[in-house]
Amino acid sequence: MTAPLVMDLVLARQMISGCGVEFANWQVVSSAKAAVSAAAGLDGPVALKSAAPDVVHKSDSGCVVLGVAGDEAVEKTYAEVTARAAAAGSATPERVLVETMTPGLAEIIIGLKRDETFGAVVLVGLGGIFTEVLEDFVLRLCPVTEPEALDMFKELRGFSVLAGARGKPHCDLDALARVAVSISRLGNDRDDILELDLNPVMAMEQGALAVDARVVLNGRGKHGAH
Amino acid sequence: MVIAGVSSDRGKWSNIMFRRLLDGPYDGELIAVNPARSEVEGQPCYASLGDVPGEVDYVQLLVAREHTVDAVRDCVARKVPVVHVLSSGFGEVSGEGPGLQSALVAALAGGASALIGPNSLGLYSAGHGLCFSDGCHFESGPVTFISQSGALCTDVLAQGQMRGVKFSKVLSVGNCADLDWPDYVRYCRHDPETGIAVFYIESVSDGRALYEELKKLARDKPVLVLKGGQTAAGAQAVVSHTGRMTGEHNVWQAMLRQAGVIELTGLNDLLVTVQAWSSAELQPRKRAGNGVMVIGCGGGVSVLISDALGAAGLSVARLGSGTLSALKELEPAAKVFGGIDNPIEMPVDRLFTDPAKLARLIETSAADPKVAMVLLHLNLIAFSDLFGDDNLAHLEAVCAAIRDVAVCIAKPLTVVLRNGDCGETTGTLYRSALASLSSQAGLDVFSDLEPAVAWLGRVRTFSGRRS
Repeated sequence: MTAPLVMDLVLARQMISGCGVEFANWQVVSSAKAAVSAAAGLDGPVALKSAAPDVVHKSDSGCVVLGVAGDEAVEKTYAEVTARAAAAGSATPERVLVETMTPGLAEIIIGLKRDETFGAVVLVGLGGIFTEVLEDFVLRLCPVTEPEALDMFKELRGFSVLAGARGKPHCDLDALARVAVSISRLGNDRDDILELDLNPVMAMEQGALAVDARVVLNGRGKHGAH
Repeated sequence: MVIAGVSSDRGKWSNIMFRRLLDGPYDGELIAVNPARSEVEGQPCYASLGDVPGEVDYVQLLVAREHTVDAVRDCVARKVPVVHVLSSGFGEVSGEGPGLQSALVAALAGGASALIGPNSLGLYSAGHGLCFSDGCHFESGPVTFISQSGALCTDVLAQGQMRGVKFSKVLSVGNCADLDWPDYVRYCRHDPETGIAVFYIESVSDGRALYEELKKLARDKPVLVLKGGQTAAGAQAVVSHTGRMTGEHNVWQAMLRQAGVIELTGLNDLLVTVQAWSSAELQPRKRAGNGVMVIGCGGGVSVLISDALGAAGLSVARLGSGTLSALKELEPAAKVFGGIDNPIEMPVDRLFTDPAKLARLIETSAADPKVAMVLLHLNLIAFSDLFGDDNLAHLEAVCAAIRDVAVCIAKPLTVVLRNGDCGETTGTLYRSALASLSSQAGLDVFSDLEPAVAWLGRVRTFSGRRS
């Protein structure tokens, strides 16, 4: 078997957008000047994320900086992010993703895994600490229908967080369910996808926006693996 | 039915199997095949399958490993529908084993024969009087148990029958070289004798096909699965959060849940659940609602049961005022907890001295529309202390009253016989009460609180899904 490959971040986002999943506004730039101009075109503070294809663990190596506001800060952060990517071993030309910061009511993880026995499995869970520490997630074999996806969210122990706990507004559960359905269909259709994370997806009063995507391919696929 | 590879050595497994069938209730034709013998145990023995006259429906192969492939070829040539390979030393061992297993499957190509095994312990079939072990009875019932472990077949058949479970079939499937889990699950759906399907599964080659078949079966019949064995994680690199959380066991659990199957947690859970389910299945009763009436002695026990009910998605039933006054009239000593008048908690002497009064308490509670199920718990230590030398006779009187009231209330009645494992006396009481209560269809008996409550939760799940 060919070694697994992390799919290029831009291609991954394009593939997932193609399934009808919405991302927060983003743009890829390759200079500080372009980063400043991209940030100016987006609402509010931005996130800068290295888009270097040869750095796998970007958050761990400091290649992701959130909540950057103002031209100077954007310029400075661009330099930091590219320097850290280089320090983490990147030998490819500078590439940075500038993205609108999206405040959500809750952070959700929606993912895929190809199981050796059962094929594609879709996961939904509460993001952040809830997912791995509290193991609050629900799995189903792909594909799932929208009512099945809604049931998955309702099975989460922390479902009340989504259903307006402590006077907070309700999240748009239908929008979340639609993302899970789209991802589950993608898992069913593309057997070269080994793993996929949308982490987090921001749950909002209306709609749901993915702000990060990671896809691992088996290396045999034809679709843009590096 | 042909048994190929029957030895004349009475110490050999093949000879023991053959004699068991000769001496047992199996009344079909039984033919021995062994090239080295013309007679075994006083029966004619044929040199090869080709020499056997007439139609052959079913062959059990106990021949030495190296002769198995040829024997399967003979079966295919004779168009034997089912070849059951009990011989071992195939895919389950290293060396030549896996290659021989592939050769077995290759020998089936183009033929009309299906193969069970290899490395199978055999088949218990109540209807045919077939069995793989001694000491079992052949009273047929709704339970079919199919297992990837032969040892578990012996355990479940013996322990289950001891608990009053009646089996239709118990099949050891061995290595699943040809017929595999999707086939066995489909068989259970079409088999009218299978009322409850119970599977011990370690692995399957086509997971999706298994899922689809389980889903179809679970729409028609209760399906209980014990999943054993964790295979080594795949060689795939796991870099995503999703990847880390979707370990093999989590995916199996999700699959079973999605298919509508009840997942069992271990051998004990399998036995108590099958016992309870099979007795309930014999006399299907309406299980409407979540409310449970708890009656017993031992305050803390009642409180713990109430807590556990909540965790299982059930609740302590809120009794109507009519029921309450009727109960208080019956037994003024009945204590109630937390002002909710359920559980009913009484000293053991008040609760069990008069079996007729106990029956009336159960009957009166069960008549309340808020009560969907009744749980009665009995502490065998207190019982044996109280009734001394008479305890066994008195316990039978209590059991007889419980059996009678179970018939007339038409609602599920679950009895927990506590502390049956505390010494000889309570052990005797436990076995006696278990045998007595198990003879009544529809009564569910447990030795402990937790499985009893888990069982009630599952009953609710299943009846909820079916209705």
